[in-house]
Amino acid sequence: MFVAGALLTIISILLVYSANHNSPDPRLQDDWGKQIIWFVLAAIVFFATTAMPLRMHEVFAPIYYGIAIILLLGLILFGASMFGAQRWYSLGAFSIQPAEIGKVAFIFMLARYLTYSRRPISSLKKIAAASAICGVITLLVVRQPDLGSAVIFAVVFLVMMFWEGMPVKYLLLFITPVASMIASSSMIAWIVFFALLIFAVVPLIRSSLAFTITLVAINLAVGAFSSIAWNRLHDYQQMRIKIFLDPGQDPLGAGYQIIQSKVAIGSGGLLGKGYLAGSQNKLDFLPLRHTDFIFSVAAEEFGMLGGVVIIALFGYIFHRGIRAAMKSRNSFSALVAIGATSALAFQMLVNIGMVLGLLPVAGVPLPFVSYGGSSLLVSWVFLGLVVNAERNWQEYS
Amino acid sequence: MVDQVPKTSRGWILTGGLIAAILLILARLIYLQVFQYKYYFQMSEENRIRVLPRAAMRGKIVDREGRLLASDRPAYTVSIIPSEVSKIDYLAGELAPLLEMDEKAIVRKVADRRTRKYEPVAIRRDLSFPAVCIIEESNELFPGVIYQLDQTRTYYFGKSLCHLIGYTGEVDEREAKDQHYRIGSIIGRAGVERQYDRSLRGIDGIDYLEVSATGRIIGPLEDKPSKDPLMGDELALTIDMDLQMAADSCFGDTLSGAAIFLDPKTGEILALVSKPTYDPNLFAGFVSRSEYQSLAGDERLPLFDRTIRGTYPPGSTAKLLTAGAALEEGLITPETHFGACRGGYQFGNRFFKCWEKRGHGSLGLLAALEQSCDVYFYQLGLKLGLEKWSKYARACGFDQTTGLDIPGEKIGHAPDEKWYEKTYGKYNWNKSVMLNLGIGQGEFLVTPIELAQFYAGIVNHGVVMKPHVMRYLRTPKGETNYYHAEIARGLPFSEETLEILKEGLYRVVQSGTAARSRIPEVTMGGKTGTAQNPHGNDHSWFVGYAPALDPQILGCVIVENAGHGSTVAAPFVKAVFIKFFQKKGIIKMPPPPMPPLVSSGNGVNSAAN
Repeated sequence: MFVAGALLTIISILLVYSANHNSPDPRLQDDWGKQIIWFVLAAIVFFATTAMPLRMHEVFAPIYYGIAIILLLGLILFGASMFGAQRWYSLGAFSIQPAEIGKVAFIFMLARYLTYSRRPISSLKKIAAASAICGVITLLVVRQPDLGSAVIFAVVFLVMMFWEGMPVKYLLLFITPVASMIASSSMIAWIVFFALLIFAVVPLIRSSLAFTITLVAINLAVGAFSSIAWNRLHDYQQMRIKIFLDPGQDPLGAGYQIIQSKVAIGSGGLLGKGYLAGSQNKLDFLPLRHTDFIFSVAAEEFGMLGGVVIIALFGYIFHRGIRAAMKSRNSFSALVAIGATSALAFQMLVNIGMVLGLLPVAGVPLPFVSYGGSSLLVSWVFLGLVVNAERNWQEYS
Repeated sequence: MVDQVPKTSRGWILTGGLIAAILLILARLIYLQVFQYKYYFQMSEENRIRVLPRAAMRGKIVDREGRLLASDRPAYTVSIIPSEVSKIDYLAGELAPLLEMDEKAIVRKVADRRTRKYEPVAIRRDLSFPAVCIIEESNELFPGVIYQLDQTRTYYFGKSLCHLIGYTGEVDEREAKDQHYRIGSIIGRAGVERQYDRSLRGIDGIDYLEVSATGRIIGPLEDKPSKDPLMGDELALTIDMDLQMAADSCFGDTLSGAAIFLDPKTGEILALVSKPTYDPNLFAGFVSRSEYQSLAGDERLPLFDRTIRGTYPPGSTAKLLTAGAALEEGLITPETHFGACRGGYQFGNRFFKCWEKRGHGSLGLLAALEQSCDVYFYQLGLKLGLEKWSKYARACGFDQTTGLDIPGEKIGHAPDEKWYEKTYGKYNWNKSVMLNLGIGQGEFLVTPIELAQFYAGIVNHGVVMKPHVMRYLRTPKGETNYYHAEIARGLPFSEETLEILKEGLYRVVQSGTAARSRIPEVTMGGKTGTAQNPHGNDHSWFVGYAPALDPQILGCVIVENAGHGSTVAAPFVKAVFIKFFQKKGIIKMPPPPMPPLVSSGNGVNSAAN
């Protein structure tokens, strides 16, 4: 596992160097050096994480969670503004991103709660309490605004709840209103959505009629309300929301990035243009190429081969993560392992999906590979947690 | 549907979902890198993808009768794409004579763009067609230089509407970031162009083009369709151009001042003039630095909108406030007489003069208004006192903006005791300030629009409407949103008080200071004012309305340094009122000028030879 993570990080350092070594901005030229320092720190943190008993985190989880909430609240007051959003604490040359710390704290907290609470997972009270743990931190992140991270919290939450055995019908309760809101943008999509929904809930009618009615009613209300609210907005307000949800709508900004990213990837071909030889990369056509769009640098310079290698390394890490969770006899470590794996997996899928033009542009970094200390450290912490859970699988709680 | 997935299956379900997602990504990677390789490789070789914004037509502006006041006309804009230019100094040297611009100005414009260097920077708007042809012919010489058919704002009644309509300018980098506007797009900078910018601007379109290495456009980009621009809304103003021109022409080219004509029942502004003026068409293209400086440095302040930003002492027009407050407080009745006017009033060791040196004798309130006797109002002001006066001044709205829908409105100044104590120290001022305030002098300052709104409230049963110039906004689809008349506040005067004040105003025009501006066909009310000006000659004020019993129009005019209100400002109001009632058919149009008597035929004239 360490080797897989290390390979990804070394690839990261090489790519950051390639992307920025002749940048017109001298501050960016040294980024690859900073990334090496972060890697050393990350390795230390990784070994510390594998060595520390998970049970300790189980005890301290509420403290972690509290600290993360305070940091996020503080951000509203003191955070450094970058690209029009408050996501960072500035500490000299480095900056800290509390949303990243929040991911770790959140996984511990939710895992602890799900393990400690004696109620059955199908109890609505338990689901509501777990939703609150997720909701508080997600709202603080949305406030920044960092929609990308917020979605990660939501997905990790759903995966962990699913893992703990939350009935599928409750999963529907979380997922369908979002789908209804999105589908309500067009009448046909909404009708299709409802047809599917009703088809899906038919088997439920006999066992729990009240729940079925609630579910359909919530979906109707959300869909109707959002389309009414939407139509009451002015054109420019609609435009702002569209750009917020999907920066690709901003045709000169993110739309341009996506085209250039696709050109970079497509022109890489099977084997790539060679290290330091990517023309898209060199000519300054790719904005944010050392952070969010680093995968396109890889795909341009190392071609499909490079892309597949990166994806395969991730695949290996995910496989080990899910296996660790399945094997573990300890509910808390299993939940932590599945939470950490789902956070890594979802970020990787969203980032690469965006770079390939499959998903909207949302500022989600590629774990291990994108430049950035907080993201790198937290990726390694996740890796350490998975390895820890894997090693101590026999321990009962 | 399964209610709960068995524990062992959950891991496999997650694994399966993950594998499916990864396969999708791999498929996309293969599609881009294997099947589309040639297309993208060629594109990266030539690497000329051009993202060209296509500016939306700005909505037109019309007056209340639909006459066109402002619209976009097609014009060529030449731009430079910074990321495609390597030697900007050389390029600027080549382009400068063609664009009739300074070389350094071109370099500066390109250098100012720090982000988004792949977007064109507009260098010169409204370029002549021959110059555009030269650029087209020799485009190999000018890499990164493009020209586009764009629009330039044109103001058809330029000078007579400049402050009201305002002008437009280019969005700079900071605004682009804060407001999500495109850098270099056109934004309203002043007047209604700014107030209603969101509606007027429309939504820009965008072209994604593939361009060859030499700059020839090959065609639209395959995987990104172009978007057409959406035209902005049409803005109809409440302004009546006939009245606007009539008011404007009163001032001629030499006088400075402001004129406001409005409907007191709705707050609709019919004419809004600030003099002197400038030509807003200068701002539509690229206003050169020297031109702008000569405008900004002009000591007559043509850029300054006097209607909403000029603050003047209201002079005798403020006597209505003093009289209204005193009536409302029960301090006087219309029959109350004060000490007789003998051309002035002795207060302590100072003698306060009346404008009429011969004196008015002892007057009641109505006669004092009619003759605008200062001595009467000195004594009334003293009786009222500063505390009550400032309370009424504030309640009448002299401490706030009127809510006119033109940005940049200023608030006049209605002082109170606190202010005097703060400014002059606790014991360094005395009751004599009330003598000045009572007749609208001293530290009391108003903007013309504030004064107009105050009088509009008096003649509209104490109901003060928000003045406005927007009549409706109409989207390109034809949906029309009318302005809904809004009440700004109520005057603190009872119906009886208002009747007395209106009676006074009626007498001013019937037999008082403004008798010379009477119109035979229409009854009128009004009040003259002469504001003492420490920097020069007195300012001439007149506020009038007609018909007296059912006011349809109210005019407020100030002419700077022009002397007494009755001699200059009142005739201006009269001239515009005549135009207004001519259009209504109440006053007959003057007969058309006689045809020339000299004729070529064998008429009477030739016989006279």
